[in-house]
Amino acid sequence: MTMDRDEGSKRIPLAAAGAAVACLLALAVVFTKDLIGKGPGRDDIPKLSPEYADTSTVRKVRTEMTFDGAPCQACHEGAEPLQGNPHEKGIFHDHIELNHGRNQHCFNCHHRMQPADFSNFDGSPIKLANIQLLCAKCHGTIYRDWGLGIHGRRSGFWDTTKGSRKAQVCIACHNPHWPIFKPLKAAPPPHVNPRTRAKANKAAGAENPGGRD
Amino acid sequence: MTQAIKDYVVFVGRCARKTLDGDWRYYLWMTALTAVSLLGLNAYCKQLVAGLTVTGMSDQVSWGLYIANFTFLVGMAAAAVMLVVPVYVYKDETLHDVVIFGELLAVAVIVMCLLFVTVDLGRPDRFWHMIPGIGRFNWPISMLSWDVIVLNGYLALNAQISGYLVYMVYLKRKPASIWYIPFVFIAMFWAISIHTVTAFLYVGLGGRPFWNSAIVAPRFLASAFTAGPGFLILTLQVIRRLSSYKVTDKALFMLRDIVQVSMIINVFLLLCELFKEFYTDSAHVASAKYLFFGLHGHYGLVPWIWTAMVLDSAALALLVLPFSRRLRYLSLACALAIAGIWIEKGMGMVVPAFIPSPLGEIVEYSPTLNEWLICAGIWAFGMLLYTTLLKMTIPVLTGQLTPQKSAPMSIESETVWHGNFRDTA
Amino acid sequence: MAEELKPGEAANEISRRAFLAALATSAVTATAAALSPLKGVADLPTLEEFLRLHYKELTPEDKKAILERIAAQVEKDYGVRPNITDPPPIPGVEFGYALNIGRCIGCRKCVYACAKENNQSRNPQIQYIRVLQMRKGSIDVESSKTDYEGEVPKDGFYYMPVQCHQCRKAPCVKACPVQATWQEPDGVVVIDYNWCIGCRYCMAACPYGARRFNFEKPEIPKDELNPEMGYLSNRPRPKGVVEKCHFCLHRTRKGKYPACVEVCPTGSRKFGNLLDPESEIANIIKTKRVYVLKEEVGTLPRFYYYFNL
Repeated sequence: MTMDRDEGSKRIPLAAAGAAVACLLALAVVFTKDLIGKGPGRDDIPKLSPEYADTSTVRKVRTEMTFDGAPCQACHEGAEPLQGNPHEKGIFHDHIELNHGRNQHCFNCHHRMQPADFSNFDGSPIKLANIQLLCAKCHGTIYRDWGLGIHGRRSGFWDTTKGSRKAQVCIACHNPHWPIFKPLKAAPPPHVNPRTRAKANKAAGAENPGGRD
Repeated sequence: MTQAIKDYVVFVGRCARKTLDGDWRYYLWMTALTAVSLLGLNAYCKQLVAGLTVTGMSDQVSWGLYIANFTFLVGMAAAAVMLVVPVYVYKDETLHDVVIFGELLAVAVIVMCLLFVTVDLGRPDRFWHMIPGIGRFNWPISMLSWDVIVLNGYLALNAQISGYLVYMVYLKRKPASIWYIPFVFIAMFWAISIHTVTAFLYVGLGGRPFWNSAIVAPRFLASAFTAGPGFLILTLQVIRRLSSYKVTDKALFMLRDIVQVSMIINVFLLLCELFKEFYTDSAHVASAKYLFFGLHGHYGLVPWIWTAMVLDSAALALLVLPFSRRLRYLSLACALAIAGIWIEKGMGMVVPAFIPSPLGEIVEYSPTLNEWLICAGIWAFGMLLYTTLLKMTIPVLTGQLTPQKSAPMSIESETVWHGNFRDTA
Repeated sequence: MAEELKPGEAANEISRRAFLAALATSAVTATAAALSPLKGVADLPTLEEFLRLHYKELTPEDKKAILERIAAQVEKDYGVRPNITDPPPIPGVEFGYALNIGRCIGCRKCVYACAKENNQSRNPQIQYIRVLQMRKGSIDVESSKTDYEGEVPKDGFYYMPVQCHQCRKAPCVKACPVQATWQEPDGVVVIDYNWCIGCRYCMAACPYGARRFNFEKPEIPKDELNPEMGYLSNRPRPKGVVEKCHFCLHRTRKGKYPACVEVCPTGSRKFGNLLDPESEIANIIKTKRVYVLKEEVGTLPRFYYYFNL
């Protein structure tokens, strides 16, 4: 590749000329046949399960007090609660698992005389519709936070001039008999792109690409 | 005025004609470069159609080989200043006749830089949003907007200087200082600024501790002043072997001094950075740890950086030892330094800052074949452009290409062109 | 590829002119072949799309025409007529977000509700929210994990979801060379997907890894498209641009809660107007101990974490 010397040379060796032309033409074939440089493959990512975006609460809030479909009054006439050890009276409420802090007794919360209602400090009844007042008896600070919107779920409109806001009550998320929030199955982890995953797996000891312990 | 433009166009046309002259080796060289450029073009077309999904980049490692090459090449372009300063500031004539090759290299390399930025864009069709006045330029806030200005400005400056000086040699006229001296001095500062701004691109990001270090700009400059003149040492040897242009050994050895000192500073600054990272051993060391030793079972960049370290050390050893007073070893040292710095500044500087991600995820990066092809294509195109520029200018500089209707040549103008631009300083 | 020539073969030559002609022809052929993948381009911008002005320079008529154009495109691509709007910021409102890491169980429902609401690409997958599983006793994100599976919460861990923090001093806004991303008066950092050039400098700048890039044309099943769209928020994005959380602009500017707040089963996510002293977000900042992630970077996020059991 002389820069300027053999100006006079007007002839090119056939072999070199052929090689140059052949190289470019071969390249044209390579391009037309799309022989190199394919894009990366794709994974099938499962379709989103609708439950991942389901906005309903983890529990259904009941609107009336029933047990196995029957109203409380069907058994509890409301005059006097059952006396003695409740376990000897039958097995109706046996599958209720009570795991609510120090609470051992139904009547800590349920009203003795009006079984469809709940009991306030002074024995006055609290209606199901105001259930948060019952919880507030012990969980005062949380009740305060709930009122301020700090605790619990709110949905609808943050700007109440434009629409209504719904504050979910305690029992929409907490089972009153076992109030700690139950574990949920996590929605799928982020999909690791095939572009990066292949390499990540190749690296020694990379059992968990995209994260680690 | 129109006549002047017409004359200039004729001059460029005649120079361009020269690029068709050559023997079979020249044609094979140019064909090979064209072929690789086309491979890159083809790969880029695929990227245009499919998107950047054909690269190895991800949301976590959002910059890769393109920006790595860009960073390295900005340095190569800036390196022309190391030839200009001795000649124009210290009036040292040794490098006088080779300055032009540094400037032409800057032109070719800046074009490569711009290409690398373009191929990295997700929406190249919207490039005009970046044009000041027409688009919506976030200047002076965005460092990238500064980069657009300084790179294009530097391209214009070097094109002006080399274009003007070569034309004057062609016309056998003494260059008028007003038409190039101011540009030369602006270009000096501009050269420093292009690489500083490129460094600031990284330094300014508080969320990436690996980059957020004040030493990055000096490191960039030191490595640039190694790689750039190193590349010129190699080029000049080719030029003097294949053309009748005279390049003295003295010039090559002066470049050696520049490369030598720059390399020492480069390695020193690197060690400073490494000390800060590893001695402090704070949470911010994660990226450096990943780079040098691997992190939590991920070792993607470890081979890269140790290759760079070996190349850098070998180059440094060769450069400081008297071996490199022999051209063969000097060339070897330059080649090693260029390769080492290319890795250190590219894959070793750009990629580790993304690993681990700001959220602690480790997503590794390695370039895909398509990405490599695009990079190779741009390099080949850059070399093609540089060869073309050399091919256009050397016949002028050696006096083989003169105005057709040669005016009666005065003794005075004879001396002017014979020394190329010796009169100028 | 170049065979060595021996002196004896020197006669075996062709004229340079003929050679150059052949070379030029083959080069043109190869170039044409190299360009052949361009036949597959499906999303070339129209001339009016190409020439349109920056969001802030659009007249109301321009904007209307653009919304209409996008609606027509969506209808063509997805067979659904979208209701695409561009709600303006509400005066006197600055949005803020708080997340109770004492309550979050890491179920990732927010991630998927967000993807659905905001028409995020399903494949390749784009998600605005990353949920970090953090070891108790550490707030270092580098000890976190994002790929946990199964029942949550797991013993010994807590969960910290991260999304765009809508920083008051947003590094991404500073980084963008073309002002394709900016901060609105209500504090939300938005992106004009029709202005972004896809340089990804904002992604490098973001200390929270909040930004996502459309490496390919996004893919959303037709039956899952959310037709309630906002120009700066959840309309389908083109290939090659950056996107991120925008606090569900098309919902929140109409007074609604963002999708992630609506879906959170534990009520860990809180949203409201920072300027309203009675809002839940103002109350949280007033009464709880809140922190922001990576405060040392100085980005002043509008996204707060607090713990409250």
